[in-house]
Amino acid sequence: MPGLIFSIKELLDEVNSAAAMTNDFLDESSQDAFSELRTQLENIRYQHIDKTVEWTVSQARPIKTIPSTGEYEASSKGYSVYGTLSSVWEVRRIKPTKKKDPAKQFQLTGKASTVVKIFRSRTDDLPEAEIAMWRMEVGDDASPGCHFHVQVLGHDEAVPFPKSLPVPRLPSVMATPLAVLEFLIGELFQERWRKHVNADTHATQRWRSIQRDRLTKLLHWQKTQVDVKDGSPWSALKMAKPDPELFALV
Amino acid sequence: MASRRKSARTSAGILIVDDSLEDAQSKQGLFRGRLSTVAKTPDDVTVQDLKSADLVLIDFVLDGWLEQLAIATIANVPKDGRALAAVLRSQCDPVWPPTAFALHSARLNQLAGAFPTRPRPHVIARTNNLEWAFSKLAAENSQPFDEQVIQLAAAVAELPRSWPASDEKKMRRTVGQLLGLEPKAGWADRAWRTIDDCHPPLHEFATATHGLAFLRWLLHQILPFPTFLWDTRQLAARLRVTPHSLRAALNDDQKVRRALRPFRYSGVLGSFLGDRWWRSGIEDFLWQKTAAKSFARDALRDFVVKLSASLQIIDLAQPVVVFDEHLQAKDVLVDVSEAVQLMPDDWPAFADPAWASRSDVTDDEGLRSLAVRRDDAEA
Repeated sequence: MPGLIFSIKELLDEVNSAAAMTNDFLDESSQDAFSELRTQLENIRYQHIDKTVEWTVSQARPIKTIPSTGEYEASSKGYSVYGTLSSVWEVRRIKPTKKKDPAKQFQLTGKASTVVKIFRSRTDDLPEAEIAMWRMEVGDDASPGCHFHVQVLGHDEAVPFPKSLPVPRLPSVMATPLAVLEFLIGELFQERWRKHVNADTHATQRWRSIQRDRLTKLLHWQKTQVDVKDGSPWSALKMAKPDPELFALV
Repeated sequence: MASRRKSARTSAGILIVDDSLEDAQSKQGLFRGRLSTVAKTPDDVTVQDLKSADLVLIDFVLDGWLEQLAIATIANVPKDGRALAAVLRSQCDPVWPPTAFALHSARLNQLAGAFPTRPRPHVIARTNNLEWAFSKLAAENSQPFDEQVIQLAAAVAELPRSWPASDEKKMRRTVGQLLGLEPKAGWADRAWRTIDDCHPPLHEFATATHGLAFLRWLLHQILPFPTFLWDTRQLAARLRVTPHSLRAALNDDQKVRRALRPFRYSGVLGSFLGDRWWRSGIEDFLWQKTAAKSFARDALRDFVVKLSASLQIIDLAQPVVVFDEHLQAKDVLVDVSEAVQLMPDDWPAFADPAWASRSDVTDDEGLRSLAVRRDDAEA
């Protein structure tokens, strides 16, 4: 079964609203990442390149949060950390009905991985160090495990979680790199982020509309998968592949 | 109703107003054969002069004229060229074709605030209800004074007799022509989106001002900033080459010139503040030339090296253009990790961020006051 289809316009809106909403929580260098995501989407939309291309946040220039000094805990006590996010989505534009029109959608064709890393900030006594890493991924036709899943580490053979052991694939509800970004910021700034997103700005409104629609569709799809008459609901969910039009706009 | 038909004059015209007729006539010499000019002292300016001019160029200091004025009441005495511009503008009938007003002065710093110390013409113009402020000091004009005046007058002359706001297609065609946007360019549609994102005044503002609001938008909010148009430094940052080598290549290397020519901005005010480049066109071009890897450093470098060996690649992860303590762009690009974002008052929300190097911000109080702070804890 072919990969998921996404609306380019909706992704552009998602990028723009994420850029506005997360600005206070991100390092200045991250603004370029949003600009690049936007430009790549416009390129995919307008250029008639009908092969797989990448929509990426470069590992060399990741989105980077400001330091969180213990705000990842309710007590707000802890050492200073910051997070980075990079991603690679392999996509192909879907040809519009009229050849010369801009494309409205693209389809996942392979890799759809968002990498999150947490770094302990440098102190007088300790150097900066990567202390956590996970990948949120959207599977493809051949991938085992939940279609939307998280893998911890697994980028080399170091233990724990070496690359040669690709499990566990923990179920996830984050579909896009920007949704993963909200997750990351929400984890590092538990209370501050919660208060921040309660402000009713234009960006938050648009973000809410997109995420609510997508999460509703995803959760509804998951619910229908577990409604089985025989076997294990969990196995059913784990094996299920969504219809490519799951997130298509009506 | 007086009307000025485009066909009645063969070129744009300017009215030069100075307290010294000799100085005004001396300025006329700069435009001989290129513009029709009229030189007057303030007392001698007539309604017909204003009607006929595309641009009124007014000296800022008018002491010579003011000293001779017999009128005692302050309401009747414009204190300087800025005030005189307002008086003369008020004499222009709204049904006439538009007339732009600009100051000309060696003392623009008197109109600038305490910071930055070097006057910024678009800020002075914007805060004084003028289209532009030209300096008599060559170093303060980014391009030769006479060329800028000719371009501004020509831009006004190109405005349509009546702004076609009620006809969307015609209006878009008009704007496209003014911006020199080739409708058949493969990237034209996306360029339009980026133009729309910058809120051009296309409806009531443009109608009420016969399109002058559109020129002001270009002069005050677009050309000085990285928006849908880039200057050569911004283009260099995108290509990851030094601005100096890019300028040299554009001058000397035919292959570079030919490759980038389709994306050079050639609309009104085309080189008013130096060359400008269509951002959408450049992005479209790079996506094609790098097989859809236009942000991958290696792919971009390979393309640039193939384009010209004279282009000097810079080895920065994320190069950005930075401003100095005078809010003038520097020619040396800096990595964003060594930069601090600024928020000057005049910086449009739709423009790319403004940056200064960390070291400059540390050393300069003015830049520090503009730095965006990101680590304030919210309540």
